[in-house]
Amino acid sequence: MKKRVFTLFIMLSMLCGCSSLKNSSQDFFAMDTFMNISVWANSNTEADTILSNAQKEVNELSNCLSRQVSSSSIAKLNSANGEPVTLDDNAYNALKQAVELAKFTDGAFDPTTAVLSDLWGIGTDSPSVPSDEQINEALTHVGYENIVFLENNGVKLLNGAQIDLGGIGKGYATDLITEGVSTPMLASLGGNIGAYGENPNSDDGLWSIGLADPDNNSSYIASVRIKDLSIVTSGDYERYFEQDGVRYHHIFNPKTGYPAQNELRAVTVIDKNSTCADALTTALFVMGLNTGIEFCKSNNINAVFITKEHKIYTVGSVNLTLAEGADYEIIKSS
Amino acid sequence: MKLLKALKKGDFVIFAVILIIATICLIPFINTQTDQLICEISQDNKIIHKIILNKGYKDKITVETENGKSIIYIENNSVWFEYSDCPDQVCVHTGKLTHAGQIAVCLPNKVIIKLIGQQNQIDAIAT
Repeated sequence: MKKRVFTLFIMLSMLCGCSSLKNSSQDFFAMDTFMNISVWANSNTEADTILSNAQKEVNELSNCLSRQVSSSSIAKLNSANGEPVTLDDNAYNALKQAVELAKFTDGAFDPTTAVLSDLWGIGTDSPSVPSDEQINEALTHVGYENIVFLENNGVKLLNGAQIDLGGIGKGYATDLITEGVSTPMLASLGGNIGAYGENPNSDDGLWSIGLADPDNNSSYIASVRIKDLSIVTSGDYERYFEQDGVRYHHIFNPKTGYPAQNELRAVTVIDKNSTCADALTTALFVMGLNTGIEFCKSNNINAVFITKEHKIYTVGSVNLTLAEGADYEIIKSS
Repeated sequence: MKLLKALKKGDFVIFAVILIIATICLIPFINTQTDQLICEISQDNKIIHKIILNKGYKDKITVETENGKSIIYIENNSVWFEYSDCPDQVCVHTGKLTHAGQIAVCLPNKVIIKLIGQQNQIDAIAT
């Protein structure tokens, strides 16, 4: 009898082991974009607490990194006319990382393109192509070399430079909210994905992430299965306007002052560090296909390049699955 | 047959208990998977429309907010932002949603269209 009770106990334990984790999910608006965070934990209360802490962190970060929020450290720095400003820890750390990534990419990513964004007005009521004189004038204010770091979180800007951390803000937020979280979490912060822990809804614990179709970004053309990684994409389809048959999008080449015009529609980077992935997508888009692929190979970056010719180039250890019916060809760049 | 003979009455009781418990455990999940495709439209985080999409179904939904106006079209199993007076037009550029898990967002008007219901093939889309 004892043996039978023991068997029953073991089998019941196995059944209990199959029970699902509790999920808590929330849509919200922050950092001038749409976000969703989903958390799985042993109880609803635990999931709700983790989710609400993460959302609070993102909102706080949004208020300190956004140049549009007048009380933010970055807005204060931009309006200081070159005088030193003491930044809060997150703004200082994010700016420090942005400058390191600008150096790493030889300025293909640059956190001082705010003047170009304002000049072109992409995403506003009245976007327009500026004159060459206007672009040349704006370029005198662009360059990460204009950012001077001082002691005790102090920073000053030279040559009328203006900071825009939009190129790494969502990545920085993803890193911040997923740091130290031990339960499964799927964060989609304005299209920047962070997939951490074991996916409770899949047999192998991996998360399936789609790569947006540049012609209809609510759909995907390929997918990749990951865990404990971030996936970030930059494409010409997000914010743009068209004039005389040319698409002018929001990814600026900091050297020319124009939106990067090349064979690419989108670049995706897969990395543990979402801040890094965020900046690299912009930089690789600016570099273009060939230079971008070489840069990834030299620096062990896992990336995907989607071209106007409907080709998908993968670099590094990226295993893509083409979506059903997707009119694209995957080319592995080894 | 040998195995069946080796089993005693008590063993069958144990199997029956496990079967009953397993069935009870499955009950909460019975209604979670559906073949229906549901369109959920929300404004400022409040769901304002929940529509089951079907072949032949057509609808035009106008969402007026203090920031502006969005017009949403539904046709068969697809839904999309047909018009928005927002400056960036990201919502209109998003295109048609046809599968569960897809989302289109008008940020200035805080209007979200989501398709839910069918089992998602992917967990998220990197855009």
